[in-house]
Amino acid sequence: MRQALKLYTTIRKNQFMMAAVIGMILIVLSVGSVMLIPGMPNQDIADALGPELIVVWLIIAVIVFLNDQSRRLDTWLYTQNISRGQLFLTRVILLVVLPIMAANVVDLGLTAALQPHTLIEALNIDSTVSANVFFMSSLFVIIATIIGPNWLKAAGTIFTLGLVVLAGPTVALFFKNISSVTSPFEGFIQPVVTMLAALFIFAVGHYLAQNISDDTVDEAVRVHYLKWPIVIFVFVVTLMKTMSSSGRNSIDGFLLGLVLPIILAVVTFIFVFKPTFKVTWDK
Amino acid sequence: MALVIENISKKIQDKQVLENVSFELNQGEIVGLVGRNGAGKTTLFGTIAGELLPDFGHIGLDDLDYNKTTRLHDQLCYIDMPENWLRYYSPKKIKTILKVAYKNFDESWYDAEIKRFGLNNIKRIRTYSKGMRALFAIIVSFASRAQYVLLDEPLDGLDVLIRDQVKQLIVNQVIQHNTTILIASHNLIELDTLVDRILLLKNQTIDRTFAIEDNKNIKKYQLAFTGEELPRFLRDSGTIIAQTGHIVTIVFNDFSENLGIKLAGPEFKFVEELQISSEDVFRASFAEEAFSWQQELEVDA
Repeated sequence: MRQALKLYTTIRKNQFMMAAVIGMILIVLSVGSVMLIPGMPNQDIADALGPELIVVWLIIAVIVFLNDQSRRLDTWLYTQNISRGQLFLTRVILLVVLPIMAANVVDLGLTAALQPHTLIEALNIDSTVSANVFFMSSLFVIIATIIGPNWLKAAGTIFTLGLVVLAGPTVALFFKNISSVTSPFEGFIQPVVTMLAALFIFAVGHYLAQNISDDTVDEAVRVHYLKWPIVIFVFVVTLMKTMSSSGRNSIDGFLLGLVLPIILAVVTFIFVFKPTFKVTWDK
Repeated sequence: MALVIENISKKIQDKQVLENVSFELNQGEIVGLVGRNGAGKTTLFGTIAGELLPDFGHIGLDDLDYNKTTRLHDQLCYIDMPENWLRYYSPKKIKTILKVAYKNFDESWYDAEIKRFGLNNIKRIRTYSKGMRALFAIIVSFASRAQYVLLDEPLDGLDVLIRDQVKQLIVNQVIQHNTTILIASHNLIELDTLVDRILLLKNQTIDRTFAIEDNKNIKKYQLAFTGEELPRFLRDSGTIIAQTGHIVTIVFNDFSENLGIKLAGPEFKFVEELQISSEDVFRASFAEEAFSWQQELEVDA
């Protein structure tokens, strides 16, 4: 594992330095605005700096991650004295955990130094944001692991994260119900459950990453036995969404609700299985 | 110590590319890998190196499973060509990476060879010409000081002078470091001057392993026939490499005493045995395909 971390850090040294410089600029701007323009609205470090740093660093991480595949660095790393599982964990540590942790340390450190009265609030915001970002990162990582081409990884992530956002009110209701039972831990229960869910997704991603061969890099779904489940997943979740809209009690409404799931499932099927249609007038 | 490839099978997009491929690479050997375009040479290299996971089979090194024992992986170096990650970095940056990747990386040798071949140390590899990129990949492979080096078309794109130097580089590497080198190439004439033996990849498997001196059954003849048409038995038992009028150059894949008697008959004015090369063995191995193409060409004509 040490070799994997050392090798990946050496390869991506310039990008890590660039991320650090951008982070420093953000910190200077944030602290500067607090010290030079007191009383400006929305300038609490607790509200802004931590999430901003996380978002900026994770955008850089996503670019680095996708770049590894397009530059065929992945292909070479598979031949090195690190396993596929170690490479997966290295990326999770350096491109997901490290940015989130670093942003939290910077945010809490500066809040403690400059606005100590908002420290508890900063802690609450950071833990919730971090848990949510960690969960979303786990979804991106598993999608990026399973799906081959970079543009399909982006499309799959947008689709899945869109679903997560749409399911947001239901999830919030779920946590509200849990919190009413465990009220003393209200502030912590959501981040902890979210983190556990993310860890589970990362564990599945780790397992899958160990069995992925470089020859599937151009395939929409790189894991053979997940091809049909993904087509079915797209159909079912889209159907759940369309059927939860109002006006689906009539037959017309029901049929209308089937249109989008069928279209998306067919499009997914075409990308995943690449069926060939022979059009010919020959007898 | 040997690298043992045992019953490797690999399907790519439901097409069987490799099936029960087995062979051994011994220390200090230079081995050629030949096969027709799309025969699976690059897939085989990728599978041995760990880029691709085999569907079936086993790769062993020092009695250990090579794929599962990652600490052995710096004992084998393979840079896939022409697309690879090296293109996006300068030799200087690549050196810092390879020093971490290969514990025996020879930094001073790498620097000396970069200087000797006049490669720009600061420019990215993608700005190099095709030949220079191929040369750089060879330098990287040897500087890794890996015990096993896989080279895919290493002489492709190199001019004659650089090619000679690279061949010398390959021989020196084997002499000085006892490295084992597996070379995939279509240039059989170049291979003949370099390798100890050749593996022929045909029908998704290693169809034959040969060294020129071992192939007593494969014979090459130049002959002149007397009649209007080429005697039928020649087409049936050999591969015609060239024909000008009544003069034919032919390779027999399985030369027998019976054939020798027929060649000594009155149908021929002149018969001479020529020295066999790997290219001839290759042609002989694909005699059936070559024959069907010849027939197609004759029908078209």
